[in-house]
Amino acid sequence: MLALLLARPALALELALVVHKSNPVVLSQEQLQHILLNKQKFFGKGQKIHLYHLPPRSDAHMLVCQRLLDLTAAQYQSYWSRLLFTGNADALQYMESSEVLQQVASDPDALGYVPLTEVTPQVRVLGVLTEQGFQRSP
Amino acid sequence: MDWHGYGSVRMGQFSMQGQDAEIPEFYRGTSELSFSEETLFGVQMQHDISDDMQLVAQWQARGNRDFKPETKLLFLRWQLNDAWQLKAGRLDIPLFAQSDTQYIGFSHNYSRLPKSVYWRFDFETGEGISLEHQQNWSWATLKTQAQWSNFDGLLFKSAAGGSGIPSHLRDIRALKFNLDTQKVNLVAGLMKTDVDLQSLDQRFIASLTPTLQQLGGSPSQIADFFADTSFTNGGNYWFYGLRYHPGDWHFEVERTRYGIDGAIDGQTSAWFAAASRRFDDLVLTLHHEQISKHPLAASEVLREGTPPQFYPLLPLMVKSLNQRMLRLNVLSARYDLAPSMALKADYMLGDVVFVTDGSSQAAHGFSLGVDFVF
Repeated sequence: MLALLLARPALALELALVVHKSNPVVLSQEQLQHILLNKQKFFGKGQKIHLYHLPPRSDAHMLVCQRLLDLTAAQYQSYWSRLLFTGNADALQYMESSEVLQQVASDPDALGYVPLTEVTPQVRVLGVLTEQGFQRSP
Repeated sequence: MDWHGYGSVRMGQFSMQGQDAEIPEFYRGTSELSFSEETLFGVQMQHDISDDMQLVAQWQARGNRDFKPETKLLFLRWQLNDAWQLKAGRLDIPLFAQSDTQYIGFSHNYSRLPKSVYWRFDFETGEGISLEHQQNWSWATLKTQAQWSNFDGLLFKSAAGGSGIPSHLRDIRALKFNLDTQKVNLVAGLMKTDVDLQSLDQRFIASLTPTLQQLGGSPSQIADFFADTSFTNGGNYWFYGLRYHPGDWHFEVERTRYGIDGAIDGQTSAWFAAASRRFDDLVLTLHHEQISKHPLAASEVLREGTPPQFYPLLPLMVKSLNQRMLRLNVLSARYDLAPSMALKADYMLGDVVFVTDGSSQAAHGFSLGVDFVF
């Protein structure tokens, strides 16, 4: 066990993609990309997805942009501004991880991400995102 | 209710061998440093009426229009499901690939989208409806937009000393296709409309009738001349573009052609090609752009039997529309200061070509500014 812990990079960031406990959705990496790019706007049963991001300068947000979308945070904001100012999307919602957890715990249509270490039992983990990619929860 | 906004604060100059280059909406009327020509601000309100219906309103104030606020967008958006959405109200007319976002400087890497294609027309929005469909595949997304709208407003503001000419575009029918894959984006569209420019026709009738009479034209010959040179006719636009972005590189080309059927100023064609390279927060872009006009010869416009002495009037009419052609090479730099703010600079070098005689003069310019969203 100790060997495993030592083998893991000290600053490796692991993010949990989280939804409301009652949400049974299963998402692939491709579907996540579509949601992050506003190409998929609804969960399976027609509920509009409410997407919550960690602050734009945070390592977590940059990991999501880079690993899932191959974009910088500024490029993602730039992409989103095209959607927002043509009236095709709501503005990006940025908040701290505690607020993301609060929103996701109370909103059945929410989707967010937080550091894996901060996950609470009030949310359901869809999968984990690391530098290596997105790993769906079993 | 959500409020958001965007803006560009930019200073720059564009001159033609030290003279005013007179490019409409582009440092027109000054060859000196200008802070207002490309500075603009926009604010947008979005209100969720229900989970699938939204009211969107956007106001814009542009420096080259004395920062007078204008309602740019005002529409209801109904998201029927993941695939279909319907909009009704004042909408952007999809004239070109990025015409709906051309004023959102932060959304692209240029200081302004290539001027030759994105000429900033006076009829960029119309009142109507737009039906939009999105098809997702594992490898691509296809967006299709079908729009019907009408425009009532002032055109040829640059040719009419800023006051513009009351005009109507009826039954604007536009189709736009956008195929997006991980690295490639293909876009194409076309627009047809019935152009009612009787006010412009009337101006020419009022100003040229005495000349035509002096040239010995009979009333019927003069009436035929104005019928032949009328700007009230069908208008056609089409465009296509390709973007390819492997890794830190980004390549982009777009081409368009448009005009009023049979109009004396003929068809306009424009294109640009760009290559960009990202270095972390810095993006360098080099692009070439050009716009060409193809005025019709008198024999193509005027019917047989028109007195030959009327022919020289056509170039004068074209000239009075204050149209210019541009050929520019532009080097642009974008530096992302923050996730919602970018510093931009560019240097432009090329020439301005006069439509009437094909002569040209070297031109150059630069700009420095900041684009942001909030």
